[in-house]
Amino acid sequence: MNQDVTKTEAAALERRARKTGFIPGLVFLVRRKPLGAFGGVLVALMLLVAAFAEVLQNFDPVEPHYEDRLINTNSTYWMGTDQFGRDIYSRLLHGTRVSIIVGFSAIGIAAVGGGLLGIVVGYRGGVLDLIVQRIVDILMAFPTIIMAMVVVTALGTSLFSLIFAIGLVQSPNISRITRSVTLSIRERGYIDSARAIGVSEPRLILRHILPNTVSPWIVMATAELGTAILTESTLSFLGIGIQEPNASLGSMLTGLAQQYRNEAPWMVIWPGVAISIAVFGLNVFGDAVRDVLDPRQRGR
Amino acid sequence: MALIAIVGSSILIFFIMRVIPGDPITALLAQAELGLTNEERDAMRAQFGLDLPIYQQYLKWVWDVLRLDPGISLVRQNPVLENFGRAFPVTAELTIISLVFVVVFSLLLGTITAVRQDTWLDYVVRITAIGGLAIPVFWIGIMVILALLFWFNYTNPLVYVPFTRDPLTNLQQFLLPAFIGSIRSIAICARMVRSSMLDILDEDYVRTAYAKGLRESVVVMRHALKNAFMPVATLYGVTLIGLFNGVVVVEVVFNLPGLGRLLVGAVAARDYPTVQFLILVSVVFASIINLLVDLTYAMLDPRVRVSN
Repeated sequence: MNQDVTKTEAAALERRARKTGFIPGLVFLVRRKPLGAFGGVLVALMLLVAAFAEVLQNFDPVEPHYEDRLINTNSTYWMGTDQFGRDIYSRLLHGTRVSIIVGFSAIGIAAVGGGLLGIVVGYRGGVLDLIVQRIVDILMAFPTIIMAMVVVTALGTSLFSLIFAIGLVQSPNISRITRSVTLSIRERGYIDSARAIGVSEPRLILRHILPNTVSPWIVMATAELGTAILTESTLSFLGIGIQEPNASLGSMLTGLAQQYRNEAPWMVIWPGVAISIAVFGLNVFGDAVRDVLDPRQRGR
Repeated sequence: MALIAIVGSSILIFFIMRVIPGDPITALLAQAELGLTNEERDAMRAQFGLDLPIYQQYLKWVWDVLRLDPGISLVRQNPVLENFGRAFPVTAELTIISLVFVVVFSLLLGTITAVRQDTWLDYVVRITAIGGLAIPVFWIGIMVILALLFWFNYTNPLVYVPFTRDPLTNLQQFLLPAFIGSIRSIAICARMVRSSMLDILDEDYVRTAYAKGLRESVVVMRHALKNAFMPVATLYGVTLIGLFNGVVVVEVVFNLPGLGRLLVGAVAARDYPTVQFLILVSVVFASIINLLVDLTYAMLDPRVRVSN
């Protein structure tokens, strides 16, 4: 009798485990990781805002209204206007788009560049690995903002150099992770087998090693997204990121916003709130992704 | 090892700076909009040594740095070293105060949350830390300045006062920026202290200490904290480097004339001699810190000491 009960329970568990469709998966996520799911919602909202900025905006983000300078929040200007009378709400939407483009592209560069580098040097080992690891040491020992500033100085201030700088700063972390995973995969039996039947090296790396590094790879990339957006906003705030008249969340806080902040605090409040929400969403979402994909790191 | 890192990155910095399209003189002239002839331009290049082959330029730069003459600032037209000397005390003071904040607060918060694990206190501190890590440092700074102004009508002293001239005003000026600049590092370190402390509190000897009837404060302070501190000690060294990120930002927000603000200004104006020198200084600084961290680690952990 008792055994029967356990059997039915086991069967139920198994049925539940098989339900890995999108909706049940979503329900599972919301139940088990409410904070992570909340972060996911924030991220989704942010992506929607970035995608439909033109639809949601009330004004052209760079269009000045000189008669309406430094106006507080009202029904026309939902978040007030800046020193040129530009609508802060509309600028915020477009700024979010820029920040998202920069953050995601930078992480894309870091994940592909740093990740592949980690796999190749991890697989090859030897002198190449030694040299690359020392360079990674140097890059990691360096304050990120300053490293990014060097790159921006060298390439000049542009959207591309900003993306490249942040990508470069983030890539050592990712390459470390994929390298260490590769080191352990390299010793597995199936790699030897593949080599024995004459699989070429590029194919070995791409078909046999790379797929097994995907999960920590994704974990790392999601975790770094928030940092990338923070770095972008900091660089733009320091005046070496996105340049006027275009807006990014960080550049809306720089320069003249500082001069006018006492009379028009809404100019500096809203962009900061937006950055914080975005980064918070990405961070808790990233944590949840890590917990689901990489249980060993849970709770750290 | 540290030396290799310094030499390697000095080469890296120099060449990154030079691969840029257009040399510094062109950039400078474009900004100044002076109508100079090509001959005058070449003369200026020669004056700054930009007509030499690139490896000679590098060697000349290294030599200049070694005899403490890193050149003339392209923008301010005065020696880079002079600007550096003026800005250095500001950043040094800011960094030292920040580090004190980080050590004190992270040990305190980390230990309390570990001892009172899963109580409301633990949750409040942890949630604040997660939230706090999402808020940009510069924005916290701006908000604090605004809040103090609106509610208390208080403004942090705006003009920099050296410690030697008026210690009280100086501290009043530095404490707030130092605290704001160290918030991120406090959050990160406190989490490490907490997890390290949780591991230690599980150890047998801690249970023995409790069983002997020692008071909790004695067990925690004397027995646990000492061992929990070890893995964290090295972290503080690394934190010192990370702190510099915060320092750069608060110097700009709070209008303090330190190295960070000097660097930001130099980057924006493409003042190459200044940028090169400041970056080199921070590389040397980071390498020394890393070396010290390794040495301290060996000193603190008998196992590492013995194996070496």
